[in-house]
Amino acid sequence: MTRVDVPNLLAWQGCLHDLPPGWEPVGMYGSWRKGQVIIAEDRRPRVAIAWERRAMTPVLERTANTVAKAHRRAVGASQVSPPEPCGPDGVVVRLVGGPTEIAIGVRRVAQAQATIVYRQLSPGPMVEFRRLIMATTAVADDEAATWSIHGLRVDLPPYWRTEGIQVLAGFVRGVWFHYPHGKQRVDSVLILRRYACASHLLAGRDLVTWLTSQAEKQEVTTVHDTTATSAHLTLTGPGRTWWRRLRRRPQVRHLYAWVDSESDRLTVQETTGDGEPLAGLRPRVGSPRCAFLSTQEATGMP
Amino acid sequence: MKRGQTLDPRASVLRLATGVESSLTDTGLLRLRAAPIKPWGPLRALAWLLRVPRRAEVELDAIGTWVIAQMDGRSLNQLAADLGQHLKLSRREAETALADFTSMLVKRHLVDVVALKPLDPPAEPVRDPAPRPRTSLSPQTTSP
Repeated sequence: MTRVDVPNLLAWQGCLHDLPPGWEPVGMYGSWRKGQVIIAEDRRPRVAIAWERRAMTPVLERTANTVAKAHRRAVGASQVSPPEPCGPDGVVVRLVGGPTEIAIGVRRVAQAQATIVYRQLSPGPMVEFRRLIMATTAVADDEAATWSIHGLRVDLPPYWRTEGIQVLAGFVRGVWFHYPHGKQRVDSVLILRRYACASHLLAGRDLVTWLTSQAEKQEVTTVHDTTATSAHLTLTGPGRTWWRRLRRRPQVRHLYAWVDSESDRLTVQETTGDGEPLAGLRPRVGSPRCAFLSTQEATGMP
Repeated sequence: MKRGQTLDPRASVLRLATGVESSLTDTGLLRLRAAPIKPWGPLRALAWLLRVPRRAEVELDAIGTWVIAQMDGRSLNQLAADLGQHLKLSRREAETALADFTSMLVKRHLVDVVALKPLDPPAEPVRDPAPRPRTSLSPQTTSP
């Protein structure tokens, strides 16, 4: 069994965290505006990370004390330590005097107008906790965002927001909607599926054959590009509603699929809708950290 | 929902249930047949009326066949590790997949999970024996 010792990135809802090796998200709640993610190591809960995007700048010390007092009774602590600075825009307080010592950190990412609260769920080294807080980055509403969770990793243009993610044993599916310029109307949908045991799934067939076998009967397949480990095709079928069929508006699905032979995973990217279809989102070969850093540098360049 | 006995995956093994017959198909896949069900009394007539199958019979795919072939007394933990290595899965994925597969077979009385030793009782939470002094940082605590 391979243990992931490469940098463990969690990019979710526009916030990117550099997790220690072996840590993984086990619970995700909320949306781009406000939410929380629970991180665990094996069966041990480690930290809860909550975020909220508001234009108003909070007083970090007051926020940290409020969170600390809300959880002081559950932890069994008698005191809250004075706030200690953590980087230029963060503070850390500790719940002391109880059977365990729990730390709580607050960070304000001004560029993204995001306030992020970190709460230890079990005791751990403070150096690790501080490193987690200081390594976090966030993007603003109108910026491109990286999404990296449970093996799915994509860099999406602005205003793509996740609608949900389904994680099963050997299968991950994420759904994103595109809100053009942040408006309410959705014009495109992106579905990413990542399957384990690609060789078992394909069973000797090529990608185009496998994808076509899953198409509906009335859909017409157009193959644009195919190689041994990737394929790009379009499925065109009748409109989903009678109104669309009356106006002769077909339903077009753009499919990209690629196989990662090393991990034996098959990823299928599907976009549909009236908006501009996304190009293939297959990540470049290389370490995720290098890919992320290049993306970050690119956003600030003219 | 009724919960079963909590087992330690490091000290539990899988084995075919009593009376289960296994055979290989032409394609090398495993077919398991559970022991026949013998309803008693009026239930027998009801089973005949509803055409209830006399026994459970399942045909496993290649991965299921591989898992059953590995049931040679190794623990569930080790079996999950081997499955993850065989299919290039992460540990959590392998454990979840094995748990789902096992529960489906147990429900059909095809496989038993045998505990080699009972699970250790959960440790008592550590309590501070001495009363903690009240400080000025906890103004909400009031003496009775």
